[in-house]
Amino acid sequence: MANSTALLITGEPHQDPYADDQAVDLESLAGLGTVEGAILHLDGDADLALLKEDLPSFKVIVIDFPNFADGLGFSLARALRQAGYNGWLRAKGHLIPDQIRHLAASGFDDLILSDDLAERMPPIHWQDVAANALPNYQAQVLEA
Amino acid sequence: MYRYNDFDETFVRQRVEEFRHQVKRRVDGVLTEDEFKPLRLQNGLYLQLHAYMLRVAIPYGTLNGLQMRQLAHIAETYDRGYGHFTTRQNIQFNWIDLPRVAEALSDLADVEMHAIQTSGNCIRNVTADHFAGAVAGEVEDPRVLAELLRQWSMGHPEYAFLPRKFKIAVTGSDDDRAVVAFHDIGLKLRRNEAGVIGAKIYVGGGLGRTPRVGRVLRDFLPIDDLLPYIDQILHVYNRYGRRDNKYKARIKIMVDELGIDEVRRRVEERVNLTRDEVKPLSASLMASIRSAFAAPDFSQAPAPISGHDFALPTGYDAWLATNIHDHRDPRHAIVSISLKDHGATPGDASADQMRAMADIAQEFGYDELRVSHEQNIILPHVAKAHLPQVYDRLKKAGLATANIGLISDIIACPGMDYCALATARSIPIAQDIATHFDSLKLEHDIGPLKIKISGCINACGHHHVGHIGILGLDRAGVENYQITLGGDGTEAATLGERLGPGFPAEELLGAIDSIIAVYLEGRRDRTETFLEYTRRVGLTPFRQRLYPALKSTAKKEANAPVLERAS
Amino acid sequence: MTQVITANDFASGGVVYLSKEGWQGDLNQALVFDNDQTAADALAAHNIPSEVVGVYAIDVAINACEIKPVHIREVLRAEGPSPRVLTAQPNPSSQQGDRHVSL
Repeated sequence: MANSTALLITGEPHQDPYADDQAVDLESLAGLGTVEGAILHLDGDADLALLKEDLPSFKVIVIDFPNFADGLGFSLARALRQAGYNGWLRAKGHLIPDQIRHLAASGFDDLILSDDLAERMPPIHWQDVAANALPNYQAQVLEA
Repeated sequence: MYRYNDFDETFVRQRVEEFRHQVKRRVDGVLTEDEFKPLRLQNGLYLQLHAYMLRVAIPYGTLNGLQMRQLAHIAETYDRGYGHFTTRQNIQFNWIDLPRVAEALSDLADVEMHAIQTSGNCIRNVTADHFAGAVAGEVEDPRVLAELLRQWSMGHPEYAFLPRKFKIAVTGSDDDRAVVAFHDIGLKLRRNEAGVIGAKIYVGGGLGRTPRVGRVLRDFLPIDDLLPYIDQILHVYNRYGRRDNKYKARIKIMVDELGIDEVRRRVEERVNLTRDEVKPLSASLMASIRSAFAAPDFSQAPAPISGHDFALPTGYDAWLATNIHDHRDPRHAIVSISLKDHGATPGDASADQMRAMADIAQEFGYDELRVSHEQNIILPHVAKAHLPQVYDRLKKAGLATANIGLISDIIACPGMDYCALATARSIPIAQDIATHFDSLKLEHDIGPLKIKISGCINACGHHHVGHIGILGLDRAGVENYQITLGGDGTEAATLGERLGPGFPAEELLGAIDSIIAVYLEGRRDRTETFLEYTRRVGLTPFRQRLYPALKSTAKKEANAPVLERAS
Repeated sequence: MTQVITANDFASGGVVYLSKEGWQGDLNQALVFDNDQTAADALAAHNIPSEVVGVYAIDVAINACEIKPVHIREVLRAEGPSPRVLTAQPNPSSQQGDRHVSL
C-alpha cells in the first residue's frame, strides 16, 4: 500500500511491517494452496463461518470501512477476536480520528489512511483523540 | 433516583471536552460537515429549519427539582426561555447556537445531565413507564434495568455507527405505558413460574414509514442474562442490518427480511459462542442502582383530610377527576401536570413553569418528576392531603389544565414550524382541535380520547397509535392530513387504520368534528369510550359520514363543524 | 424556474440566503437566478463549510419587489414558525429574532 500512512491505535504513525505482503480476499482463498501467512482482506459482509479453521493461520486481517458512518467493521472485528483470531487486525478506508477509541475497543491494532485523508487529518489529531479517549462505560457494569 | 458515581461524573465531563475538540476539528477543516454531523448528533445537536436544536436526555424520563431548575436556566441562558418535552421523554431547546453548546453541556453536567446519544445512529435514550415505582402491580421498577442499559449503551464503541437509530423501552407492569411493542427492543418485566424476575423481549417494533408491532424474540429471560443477550441483538443488527437504504435500515426491516426465527437463531448462536467470556454484572453497581430506585418512605405522609378548613380552589374537582392516578400507597396519588393548555404548543413549558414544577416537586413530591411520552410532566408521589395545595400552586403557574387523557391532551411533534423533515405543520392543528372542543365544553362528555399528530411519515407524534391519528403530508405543495382510527399504544398494541383520502388544513377540523359526532351519536352510553366504540363498529360509520357519496359541495357542508355547544 | 440559494448559518443554524454581499438573512436581498446552471455554479462557489451548511436552491416567485418562496416550508424558513405557534409559546416577546424578516 504505497500511498498511505499506517497509524497504531495510539495514533502514532509506524512503519507498515506488511507493506509488501500479498493480500488475498475471501473469494480467492479457496484457490490458494495454503493460507499460511496471508494477508486477508475482508468486506463487511464476510461470512466468518468460512474462515473458522483458518483463523489462527492468518498473520494480518484487514477490514475495509467504505464509509466512516458504516460501523459494521467494529462488529466484524469483535467477532473475529471472539472467534479466536490473535493476529494483526488492521482497519482501512474512510475513518476519522474520533473513531480511534472505537477501533481500539473492537480489537484493531492499526489503521491505514489514504494520502488524502492523512493530509487532512495528520497523525497529531489521532494521537490527540487517543490520548483523551473517553473511558469505557461498558466495563463499569460488569464484575472486574 | 440514581445519583452519579465518580465514573459517571468523569464521563459526562470528558464528553463535553471531547465535543469542544470535535467542534474545533470541524471549524479548522480537519473534519468535513458530513464527518462532523454524526458527532454532533450524538451530542444531541440537531439542525432544524431555523436553528440548531439541542435534545437533552432525561434518562427514562426521571429528573429532580434541581435538574428541572437547570433546564429552566438552559432555556433562559441559551435559548428563548422555554423547552419542549418529547415523545421519548427528552427535552428539546429549539434555538441553540453552536458556539455555546459546550457551555450548555457543561451546565448540564453540573446537575448530572447530558445530551449524549439523543440523536444519531446509536442507542438512544432508554425510556420507561412514567409511572414507574409509583403504580401498584409492578414486577420491579423498570428503571433499574433502564439505568443498567443506559450505562452499558453510553459511548459503546461497537455500536456508535449503527445502520440507523436504536430505541429501547422498558415496562415493569402489565399495563404498558412505555409503548414497548413499538420499539426496536421492548422489554416487559415479568416473573416465570419459579418466581424469578426476567423480561419478555420484543424486537423490531416501530412506527414511521413502515409501522410494525414488535415480535417476541424471547418469552422470558432472567435479568442476569439480559445484557449479554441484548448485546448480541445489537451485534447481529450492526452486522446484518441494511445500510443501502435509509428507509430500510431499522431492525424491524431486518426482522421482516430474515424472519424472527432466523434473527433468534443468529442472536442465540452468538450468545452461546460468547458465553464463556461474558462477565457477570457488577454486584455492587446493581445493588447501588436497585437502592437508588427503592421507593421513598411513604409512611410519613399526612393522612388525607376529610373535611377542609379552607375553600378549595375553583376547578379543583375537575382537575382531580382527570389528572390524578392511583398510587401504590393508599395515602398518595400520582399527579399528571398537563402541558396541553388549550391553544398552547403541546409539550412546551416556560422557564418559569419549569421552576414552579421543580418547587412543587421538592415541597410536595419527594423531589421527583417524570416526563411522559405523551408530553406531560408527572409528579409520581404526592400525598393526597397535599393535593389541594399542589393544585393551587399549579394553577398559579398556568399548569392546572384538567385535560389528561381527554381530546385536548394531544400529542404532537413540532412539525413543519420547526422540523426540517416535516411535510406539514402539526402544532396549529393541535391548537385548533384543542380550542374548538374546549369552546364547545364537550371534552368531559367525549371522555378518554388520544389524538396524536405527526407532521411527516417519520411519525414522531406516534400517530399510528392514536385513537385518532393525524398524519400531515405534502400533496402537490399543499399540506394535506390523513386520519387513522383505532390505534392503541398500550399492551393492546394496535396500529390505526386509515380512514380515507386526506383533508386540506381548512377541512380537517370539520372532519374531526364529524368523527366525534358519529361517536357521540352512536355510542352505547357514556361509559363506552371512543376506542371501545371504534372497535365495536369499525370504520364504516365514520367513512359514511366523512366520505358520503355526494357531490363535492355537499361533502364540504357535511364536513363543516356540526357539534352544538353542550348546554 | 426562478430560484434563490439558501442554507443554514454554520454557527447559529439560522436561515441565510446568498446575496451580492454573500450569505445574509434577508430573503429580499437574495440573488435571483433564472437559470439552473448559474444557480448550480453559485451554489458550488459559496458552499463554504466554515460559513454555511445544507446549501440548496429554492423556487421563488417575484411579486412587485418582494421575493416569496413557492413552497410553504420555505415560507416558514423565511418568516419563522407560524405566528400563532409563536404567540402560543411561553415568553412570546422573546420570539422574534432579528434573523427573520416578515414578508
